Amino acid sequence: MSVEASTLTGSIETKARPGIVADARERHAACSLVGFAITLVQLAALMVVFRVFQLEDRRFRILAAICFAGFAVHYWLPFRYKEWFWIALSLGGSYFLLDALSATMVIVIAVGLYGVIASALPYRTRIAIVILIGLALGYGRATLGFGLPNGFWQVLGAIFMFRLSVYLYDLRHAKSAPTLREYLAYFLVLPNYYFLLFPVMDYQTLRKTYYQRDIHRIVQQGIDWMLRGTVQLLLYRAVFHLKPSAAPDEITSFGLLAGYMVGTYLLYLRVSGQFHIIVGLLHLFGYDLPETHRRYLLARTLTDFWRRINIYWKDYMVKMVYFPVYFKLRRSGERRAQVIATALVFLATWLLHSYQWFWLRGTWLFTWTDTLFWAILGGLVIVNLLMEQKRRRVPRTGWRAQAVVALQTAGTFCLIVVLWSFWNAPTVGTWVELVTFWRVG
Amino acid sequence: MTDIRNAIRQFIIAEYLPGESPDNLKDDTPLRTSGILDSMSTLGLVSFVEENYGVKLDAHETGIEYFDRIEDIAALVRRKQPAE
Repeated sequence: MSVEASTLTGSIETKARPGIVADARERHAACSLVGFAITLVQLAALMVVFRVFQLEDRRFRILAAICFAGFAVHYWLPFRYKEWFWIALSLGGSYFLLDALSATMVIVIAVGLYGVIASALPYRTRIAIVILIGLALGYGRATLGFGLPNGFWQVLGAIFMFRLSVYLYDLRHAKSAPTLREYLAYFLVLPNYYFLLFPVMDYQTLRKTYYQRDIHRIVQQGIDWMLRGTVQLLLYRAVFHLKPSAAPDEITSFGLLAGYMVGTYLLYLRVSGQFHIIVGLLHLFGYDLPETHRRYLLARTLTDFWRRINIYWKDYMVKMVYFPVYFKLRRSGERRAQVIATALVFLATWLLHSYQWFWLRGTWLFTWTDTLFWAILGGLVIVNLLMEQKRRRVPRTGWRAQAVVALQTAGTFCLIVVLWSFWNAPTVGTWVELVTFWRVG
Repeated sequence: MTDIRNAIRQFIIAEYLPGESPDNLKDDTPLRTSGILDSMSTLGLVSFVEENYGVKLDAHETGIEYFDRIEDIAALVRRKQPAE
């Protein structure tokens, strides 16, 4: 069992016993001067590292300073004020990270959407209105309309483009009406004003893990992840500078080709590093969210890779696509349902990748390399999934078993590296030229 | 209720954590958010629960709210079982 699993033994929290849940959470928020001091020293050390290495940019360091200073106040507040304080910090902090017009407009649109979502209208009517608002905003994004800057549209997209669908899905099955506090704490999250690529947090997970164990353990986990994220961002910087050029006529040997391909894959360290820092920051305020990436460079199979890299996206797809499709089709055969559901997950991922591109960059991404990448990856994951089902999980011991694991890991790494370089090439022709130039000249 | 919890625990240990001590898998150990159960093993557990307790689960009931901890899953099963 993983370390996280064996240590995550939080309280009993069900909606059937809200009083017990509130008590447990309040207990988990109990303050300790020593615990606070230890945390503060670590945060100060992190801040020094951010400054010394000029991590990211100045806005990132402003974000970190607001969060760390906010933690120092938040920690001592009575439990009932804690989440409202975090919301106020996020709203106020947005004015330090965005221009005043953009920050105000994001809040206005968020509150307007809540007005629709929390209204007494039938669920389908509310969904229809939200879709209409989304289309109008999409028009604004495409045309940079309504006199709003590009930065505003990027942040608006980063906040709502995926999480809104999760929220509406959960709303459909919710036992009680959503509260404004829970809504604001889910959407208007301070780090999201800086980080445009943001983990697709699950609404239920955010609520369920809030102060689910002692705050000092939650915070320590967050600091550990921020440190891991910092190391990954520094490694990213090294990879960025050391990676061979992408110009095909400069790839004159197999070594340079391999270096280019591995380097291209390792550039992803920036995303995983940022995600670790984002979730780490949220831990400071009691959100005991799970990790976003789990040693993805050591994946043993492609299915394993899919489960380890951007775990929040995988969970989002499982929740919104895989399970609904599977449960609808399973009467016609388990395996058939699983294959169709998996294929639809990759189809949705491909489409939503382009949709994300639209909100963040203003154009749609439909290239052959992107399309083929998701098709190949999806096909291989399906094959892998079917093969895995035939095998039973048994503990492996001995040097032979370990050697097999090492070979599988190395093979998977090589396959992903090749696929990744293909995905990042502007056209199929460019990629073919890139990988063959060193041989044909 | 305890029987359901123990049966679910035994199933998870046997199928997904072979060699693990049942004492390490507590009623409130997160299963999904910790990575013990992935989507495929969640479906395996859904089949186990449905076959053994005569209940039918919907897609949304496999979310974190109902399906992340043994105690939550057992409570869901109890709620869905016809009254005796």
